[in-house]
Amino acid sequence: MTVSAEDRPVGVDIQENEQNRPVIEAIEADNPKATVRYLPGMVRIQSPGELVINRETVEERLGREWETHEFQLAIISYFGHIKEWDDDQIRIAWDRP
Amino acid sequence: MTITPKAPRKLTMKQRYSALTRDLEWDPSYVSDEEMFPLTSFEGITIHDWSKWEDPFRLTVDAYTKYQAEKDKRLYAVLDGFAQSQGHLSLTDASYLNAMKLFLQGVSPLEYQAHRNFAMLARHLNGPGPRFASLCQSLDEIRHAQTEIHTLSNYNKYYAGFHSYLHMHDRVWYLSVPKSFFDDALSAGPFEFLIAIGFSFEYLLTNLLFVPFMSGASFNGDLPTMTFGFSAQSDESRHMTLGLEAIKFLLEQDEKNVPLVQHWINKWFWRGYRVTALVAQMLDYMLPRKVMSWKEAFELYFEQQMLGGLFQDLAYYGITPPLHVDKAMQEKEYLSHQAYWILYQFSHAAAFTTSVPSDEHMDWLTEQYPDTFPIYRTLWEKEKKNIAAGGRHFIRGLPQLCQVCQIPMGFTEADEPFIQAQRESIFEGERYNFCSDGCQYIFDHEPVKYRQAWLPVHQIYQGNCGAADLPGVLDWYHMKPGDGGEYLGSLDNQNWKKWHDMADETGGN
Amino acid sequence: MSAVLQDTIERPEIKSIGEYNFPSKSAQALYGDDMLLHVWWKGNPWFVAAACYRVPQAMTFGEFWEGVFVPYHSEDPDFNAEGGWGQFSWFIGNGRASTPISPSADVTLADLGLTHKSVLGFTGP
Repeated sequence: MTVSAEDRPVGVDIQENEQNRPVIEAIEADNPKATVRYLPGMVRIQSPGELVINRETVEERLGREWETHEFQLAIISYFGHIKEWDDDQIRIAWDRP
Repeated sequence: MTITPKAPRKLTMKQRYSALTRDLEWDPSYVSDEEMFPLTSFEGITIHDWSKWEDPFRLTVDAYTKYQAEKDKRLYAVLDGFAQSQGHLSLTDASYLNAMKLFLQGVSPLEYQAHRNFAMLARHLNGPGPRFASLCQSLDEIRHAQTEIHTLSNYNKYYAGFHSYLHMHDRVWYLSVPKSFFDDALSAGPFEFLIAIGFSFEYLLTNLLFVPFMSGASFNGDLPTMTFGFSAQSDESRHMTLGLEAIKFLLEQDEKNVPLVQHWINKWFWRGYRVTALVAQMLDYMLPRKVMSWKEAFELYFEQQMLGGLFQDLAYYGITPPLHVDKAMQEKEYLSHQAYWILYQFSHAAAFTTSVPSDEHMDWLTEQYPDTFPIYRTLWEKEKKNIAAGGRHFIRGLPQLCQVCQIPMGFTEADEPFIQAQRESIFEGERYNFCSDGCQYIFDHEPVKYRQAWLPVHQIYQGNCGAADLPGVLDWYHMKPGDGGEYLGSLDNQNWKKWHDMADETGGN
Repeated sequence: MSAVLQDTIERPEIKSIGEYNFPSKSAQALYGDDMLLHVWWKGNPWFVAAACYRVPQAMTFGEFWEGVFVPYHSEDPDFNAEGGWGQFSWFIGNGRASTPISPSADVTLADLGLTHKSVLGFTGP
């Protein structure tokens, strides 16, 4: 039974701390289908098909400039492929239908 | 927040990456490619265009050092605070540290070995993209080794079993399991190493190995371990990407690479999976406060993410899930019970302690494993009677070992909970024993490699381990009284009680 | 002294950067006139894995029972040494298959058909 790439979940695990809270909020805001699960010390966000992290949304919530490289301090793990990581956006999705 | 605001930049991330990584590459005029990169042809992998290697992180050396420094600063702030506040006293129980002893003895030395091998890849891969990614990973790995040692050294002041981890890693029977696993990868060619460690270990299995460890630390009051773990894991997402890019790159470069890659996936899934038996028993038996069962972790991190996600993508290239994955899925119901039962009866020769699970703990196991734990519970009930009669189940001899994974042969057939699996191959007149079809498959493809395995039991019987009797061998292992055996009444257990009673009596802390 | 075993696998092609042919680190010759013997109480989970002993190939089964087998297995509170070896059914294990044998006091381990790293199995009582 294969599930199409639009439905197969992708996701990230993020350390749960004060610095990352605005990042988590931004991901929830930009990914309406995302579900969030709290595990000891960490938060898992997963979403069907694709997950995006937008610099602008993070900066709004953080109240300062944020470069996407900073996401490396927050991420513990992910599943899916990192399809794009540039100045404005990080996008995780599967390759194939 | 100590990160300085970013300065205005002339180049975008893509352009910077291209300028600082790819554009520093040149073609040598006075040696051939073959002379410059002598290790990338003998394995039979065909690469047509190294520039096709993708690095989604687009990391440059300035960004790398900036963020790594920040990660270290955050970690060392936590370590200092924990040490100054006598944080070790707020752990759930001293027995929790058994998991950390196993980690320091078994895993931290592998980080150092990974550092060495990625440094070699950073020299020997033909393309600048993978060379730079390997260089970053090499630096990450030595950071992991160092931060783990620093973090756990604080416990070495108060608890047994931490003192000789490097010495033990090279000698002790259960540590030959992770050691031989990594030596096996180090002695393979660069492409096989990328699939073995970069892909199978860092992508397929890393979450199973590390995330439960770190959540377990968080749940059991071990803030420093949680912090180093998550700090290391933040690098791990880059390593996962390297492994994933490696496999996609090999598969896209030439169709002839597909069967080679498939064999390596088959081999290294099973090789790595066998090492995770140590994690399985840690999750289900060693943590005083439980996070999740091995079964749940396996379903979440392996079945859903890897089989349900990744392998559907890889099917496009003609790659199928690893051979013997069905056996691993059957074993999720009982792997931890069997692995802990092995460690329990050999812990008199280990640098960690074990104990009969409490009734409450066994009830939890029954909830998690309603179909299998009740069978294994009968063993613990027998052991409780044995203890009441003055016994303690320590084996009076040495076990049969698997020639490939080197674990005592305690894993059973899938349908018979008490019948250990026995497999054997005969090669050039000598018999070799295996615990599973997976390990036999690995041997049968490379018997000349695996017949050289340094099996601790066989070496003891050849007289190569210090002495012929157990006390002599333990001495050669550098084990001290209090390091191993039964937890109840152990040095750690006595000290723990003393420190906590003292704190209560003085009304202090 | 030991019987010649029939190979079950052939030497596959080796991919390496040079000559690659190193001996086994567990070869029988490293143990002189002794051999490694695995002893497996099939179906008794008290002993999590089969045991591995170094024993003379010329050791009789009676000596083996008395000096090696009983001291080890007495660690199981349900083991009854007085019952003697007749309480068990004995076999030589070959992976999943097995060949039944009937040990007696004076027959040597080698004459029972046991060779280096073979599995002496038993079930019961």
